[in-house]
Amino acid sequence: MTTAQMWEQDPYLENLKESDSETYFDYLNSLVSDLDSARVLISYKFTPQQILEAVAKKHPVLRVGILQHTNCPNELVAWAIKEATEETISALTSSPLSISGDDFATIWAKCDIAQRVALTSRLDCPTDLLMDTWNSDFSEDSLFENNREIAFTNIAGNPNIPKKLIVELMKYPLDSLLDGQLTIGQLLIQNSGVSDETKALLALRGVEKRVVEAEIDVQRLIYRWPSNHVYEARNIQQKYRDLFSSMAHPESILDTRENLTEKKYDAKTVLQYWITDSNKRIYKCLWPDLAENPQVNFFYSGSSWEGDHAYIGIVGDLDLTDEEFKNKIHGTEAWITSSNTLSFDEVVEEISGRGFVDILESEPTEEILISAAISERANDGLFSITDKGKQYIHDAGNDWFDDDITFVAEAKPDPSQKVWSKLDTNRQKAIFNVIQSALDDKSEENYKFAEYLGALLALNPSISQEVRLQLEKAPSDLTKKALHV
Amino acid sequence: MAKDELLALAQRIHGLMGQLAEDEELYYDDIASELGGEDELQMALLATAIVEGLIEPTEALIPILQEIEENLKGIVKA
Repeated sequence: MTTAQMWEQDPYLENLKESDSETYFDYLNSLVSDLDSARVLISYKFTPQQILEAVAKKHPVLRVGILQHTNCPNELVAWAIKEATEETISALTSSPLSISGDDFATIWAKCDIAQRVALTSRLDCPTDLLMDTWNSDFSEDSLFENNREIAFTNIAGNPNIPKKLIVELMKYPLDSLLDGQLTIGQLLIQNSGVSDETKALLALRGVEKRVVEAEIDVQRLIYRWPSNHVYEARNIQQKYRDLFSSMAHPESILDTRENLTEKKYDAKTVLQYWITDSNKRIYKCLWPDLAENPQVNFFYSGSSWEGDHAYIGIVGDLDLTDEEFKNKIHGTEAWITSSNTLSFDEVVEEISGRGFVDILESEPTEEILISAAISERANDGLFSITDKGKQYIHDAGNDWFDDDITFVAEAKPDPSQKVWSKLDTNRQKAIFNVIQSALDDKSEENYKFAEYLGALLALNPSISQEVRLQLEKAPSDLTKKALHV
Repeated sequence: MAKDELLALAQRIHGLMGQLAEDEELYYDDIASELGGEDELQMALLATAIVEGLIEPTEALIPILQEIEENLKGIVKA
């Protein structure tokens, strides 16, 4: 099973389908009426056709979206062809459903040149239409609309490519980059409609296969699980939340409104869920208690390069900068606050971090350059800085530094999430068991995130002696080190 | 050197810097090149900091500033 396949299936909903088909359909049907809930249904790859039919009937506005679903009812394809608006043609072009030759011809007749070219990207586009596209008039092309190049790309990669066009395409430089990723040669050599003899010829001319791997957006896949929606849309009946909670859905561990189950939570799923959780519950749960530990500092970094983000820093040599620890919360969060003003010492630190030369080369104001000269020479014994000088440097720095700056921040408990120290023992145990299970499996994809969470617990002054002892035994150097900060 | 003499030296450097910037239309990086480097530019800027009362200089700064003044005079003359 690929990573995409693993995360695109909602394990809780699919388990329900296996164990209790009637309740499964009841739940899905309960989502049909509300527009937002219906959107969840059409974005989930495994929603059955009969549910999609109900959504299409109830929400005409979602029909175009349903055309992108593999279980789209055939009647909707017929409807889209009949409508033949720009929107329905575009939806048909990218629809995963196969389209018959006759339907293609009907759509084709209603398309403009750009839409016809787009249709050739479909792998079931008939050979004669590929030929027609090749012979189209591209004289209206411009710098902003290069239909000819798009047609070349689509035809070169299409298994129904006419033999004649293979010969034509091979007259062009094979290393011409077409779609920004693959060359004419690479598109042809990877095309199943091109003969082995031609591929051998392409190889002789130096063409090599190059697979462009699509990036898997795990967060988006998990976000689409219909079982999550029951916790987000609070108007859905509580019995469904109870149902998924009893199946050890990750949301039921941290959200104290939900029932914790005695079943074992799947560490792999829960960890991935916590990473992708837009509510940042695990951070809201584990960070605020750390304010009681004098060795822990919170920072907020404003950066157009990395994106604005908050993180924790530990006094000493406990290094949490590895990206895989996920010691970052991107964007602004109401529960994380910072003064957004640099102190005198922070301005001096920013100047020192960039250096005088860097500032000199960035079209500085006179004030920041003088401030940089003073702060760079402050330890040479040539002068002392007056109070007026400190204020001058403070003001100059706050005027000048508007990017890539870090402020001291505070993390306070968020009303939507109880912090660890306020959770009951059972929930604390459930969280700890997830972390411990992940730490026991070094092959776990998110092992480092588990280590990070273990370290957060180790730094939490409110943990029990029992948890402390178990963390001592955990197979993680980071966690052990954190216990002795 | 008395405190007021040091201030006068700093003011002269500050004036020469202003002359280079306004009359000669030199940017700070040009002045750094003319003076011999970023270290020298930093020292010249410290003269402005003295004039503005941002720093309290020690005697160790005097010979450095005197040398900067001579360099600046040479650049202005040229």
